[in-house]
Amino acid sequence: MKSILIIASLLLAVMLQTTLAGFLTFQGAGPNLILVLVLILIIARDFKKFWWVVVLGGFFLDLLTGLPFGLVSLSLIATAYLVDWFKSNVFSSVKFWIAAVLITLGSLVYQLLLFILARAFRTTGLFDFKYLLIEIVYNLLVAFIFYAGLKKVFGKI
Amino acid sequence: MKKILTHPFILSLLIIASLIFLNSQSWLNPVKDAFYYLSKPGQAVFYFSSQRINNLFEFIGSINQLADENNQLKREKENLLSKLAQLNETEKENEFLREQIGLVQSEPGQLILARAIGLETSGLRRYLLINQGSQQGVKEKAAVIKSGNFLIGQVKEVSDSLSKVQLITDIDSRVNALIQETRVAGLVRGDKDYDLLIDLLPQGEKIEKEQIVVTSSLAGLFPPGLIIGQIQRIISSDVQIAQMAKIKPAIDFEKLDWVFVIKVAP
Repeated sequence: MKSILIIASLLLAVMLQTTLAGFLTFQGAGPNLILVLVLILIIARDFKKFWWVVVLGGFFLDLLTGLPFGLVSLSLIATAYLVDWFKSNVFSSVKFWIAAVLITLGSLVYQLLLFILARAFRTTGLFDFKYLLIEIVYNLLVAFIFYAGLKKVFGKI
Repeated sequence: MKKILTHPFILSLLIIASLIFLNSQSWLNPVKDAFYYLSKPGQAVFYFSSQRINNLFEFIGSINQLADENNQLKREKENLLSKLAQLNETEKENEFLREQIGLVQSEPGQLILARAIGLETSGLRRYLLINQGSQQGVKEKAAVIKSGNFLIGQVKEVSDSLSKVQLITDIDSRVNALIQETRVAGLVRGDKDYDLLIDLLPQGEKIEKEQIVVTSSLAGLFPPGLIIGQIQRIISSDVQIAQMAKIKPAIDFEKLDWVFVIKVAP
């Protein structure tokens, strides 16, 4: 039942990413709802439990995005794995501020990976600090909303 | 070996690599078509609702400026009516001259009406999703316009019932264009701050604000004469080989609803 709800949340996040998120941009940057949802699940539990959610989320986003197919999935899975590793090896427990640090780290790594992997996919990659900063602020706001929502739905995730 | 292959990260990479391979061979198309078909209604509902909310907030934010904007629009309307009258006269003149020299007017391109159902802005990309696909005659590289011959972008990916349109504000977009008044040619491209730039304008050519930029017939990618925008600011240095200018787009890409896809000739 929880898996079905997670898939439904993922689909909803994908649809909102290609609709609502497009209208929330500021200076060209907006929230990345799939990235935030994936990171929250990874932070709340771990990569081993939710790796399939990351693959599925990346796949859905690859279908709707204008980026070359596979670029988003690869960036997302590598980001999720790295954030999970960081969480497990650097921090002893996950508090609110640690989650914020991990979301920030995840946003940075994701943008870096998109930039680096863009070359392999023969497309233009851009890394812009102003864009990154705005996206991090957006992602932190969205993470707070998602976390509260997921906790209400699932109880303890 | 088995332990490595069953590690979640390695397994994920293998699955993603397989999907990339399947997509490159077009074997994922049935899955993609099914996904687009099922998600289209939901996409449309979310897109229209988001657009309405966005319009409401924009309206509330612009209440103070409404009176000034109204006066400005009235003045512009008067100017446009005058220009329209002149253009009508010119058209009649052209028709008469064509008849005189036996020149046949080229047929306007066929149009496919489509509705915007999504706006993709992640990774500094700008793409529009529309609800028409190959079943309705949409093909890759077709130009997409708004009524009034305003250029929106180009179809980049087509499935059975949905297409992805690369907006002209996307950083990878390139459009051969010219300044309507002076016929000076340049290249319009998207900028990372989502401005439009016209580049490769020859040094020495006089570029002025509010000049209209339209598509040219160079490279044959877009029909000529489609309106892109107006020159907003000139960026020119005597040291550089070419001039550059920022363009104010003719349309608001957040208010796209009904669009037209120009059918590609077989």
